[in-house]
Amino acid sequence: MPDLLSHAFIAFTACTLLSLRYDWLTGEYVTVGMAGAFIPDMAKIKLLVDSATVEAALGVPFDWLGVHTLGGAFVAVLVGTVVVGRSDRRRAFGLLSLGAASHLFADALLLKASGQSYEVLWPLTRYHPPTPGLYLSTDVWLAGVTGAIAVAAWLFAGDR
Amino acid sequence: MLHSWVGRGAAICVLLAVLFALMVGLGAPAPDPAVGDYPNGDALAQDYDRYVGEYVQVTGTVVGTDPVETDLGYAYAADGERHTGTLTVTVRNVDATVVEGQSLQVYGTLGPDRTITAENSVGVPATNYTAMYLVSALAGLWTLGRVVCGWRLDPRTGALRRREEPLTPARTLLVRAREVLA
Repeated sequence: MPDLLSHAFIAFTACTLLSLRYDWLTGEYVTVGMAGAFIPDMAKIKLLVDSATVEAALGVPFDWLGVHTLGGAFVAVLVGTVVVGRSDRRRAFGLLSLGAASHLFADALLLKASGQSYEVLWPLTRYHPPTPGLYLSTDVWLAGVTGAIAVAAWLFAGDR
Repeated sequence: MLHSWVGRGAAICVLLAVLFALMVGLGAPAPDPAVGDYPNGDALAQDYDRYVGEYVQVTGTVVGTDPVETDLGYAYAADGERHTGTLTVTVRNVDATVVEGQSLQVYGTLGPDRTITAENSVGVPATNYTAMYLVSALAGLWTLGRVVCGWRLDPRTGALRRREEPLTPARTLLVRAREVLA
């Protein structure tokens, strides 16, 4: 979607609601879910070094958007899973996956002129699924809505 | 094996190599309308004639409104060199009102002579980008702050571990403020 704040809010809400069910899911773990929501947007490195620059330098085709797909995000989640200590691996894997998946899903609903989304399921398929076109990547109201829901969830779950 | 600096570092290198391979794989194929992957500005700049008569989806900055003209910024690599610039195209049949400087996404048929006959177009107000970068930076700081407060680096193994007692700068500040005010 949109701005990263909306993505962070969505992951925060999902993890906070899950914390009602799982006692171990404390604030530190909610943070892991939020970090997961940042993974696909690592593709934004392209704003600093675009894909064509990498392609020209290395002589191979290249697209930063690879990390903004099912396969790319999964591998990045594994990196995060390796980084945490042994005892937290399973939880980190689950929460990073949840955060990254929520981001990819929200982005697949973005409004496109062609009505087709992006290659979200790469490398399983290059198919661009149809998108309902719920919002633009620049809609500011979205952060307000997702933020309000996040605050509601936070108040509901109690400060953990 | 993944519990030391070396093991962890090796595993991360392997994973990054896989990630890189996925990025190369995604960059390789040419646009394919059959899977909803329409040629964009980069593709048009690289080989315009190849796509004439086909559906394209481009995003550009509006530089003229009567007729609607957009500047498509492009960047592509060919023969080991990076090519960048802007390609100006005239867009026919734009149903929305557009103003100069705004961003416009167009889906339509590519004609010769740098024209696109729009089937659908989506306008994006230019000002929104600044707001988007601002709130995105805010989100980054928020999450980074939470990571620092809740997790620490174990210098022995290079692992991130949960803090037994999370840092609570906000709460501490609040308590201090109350003490001062009381």
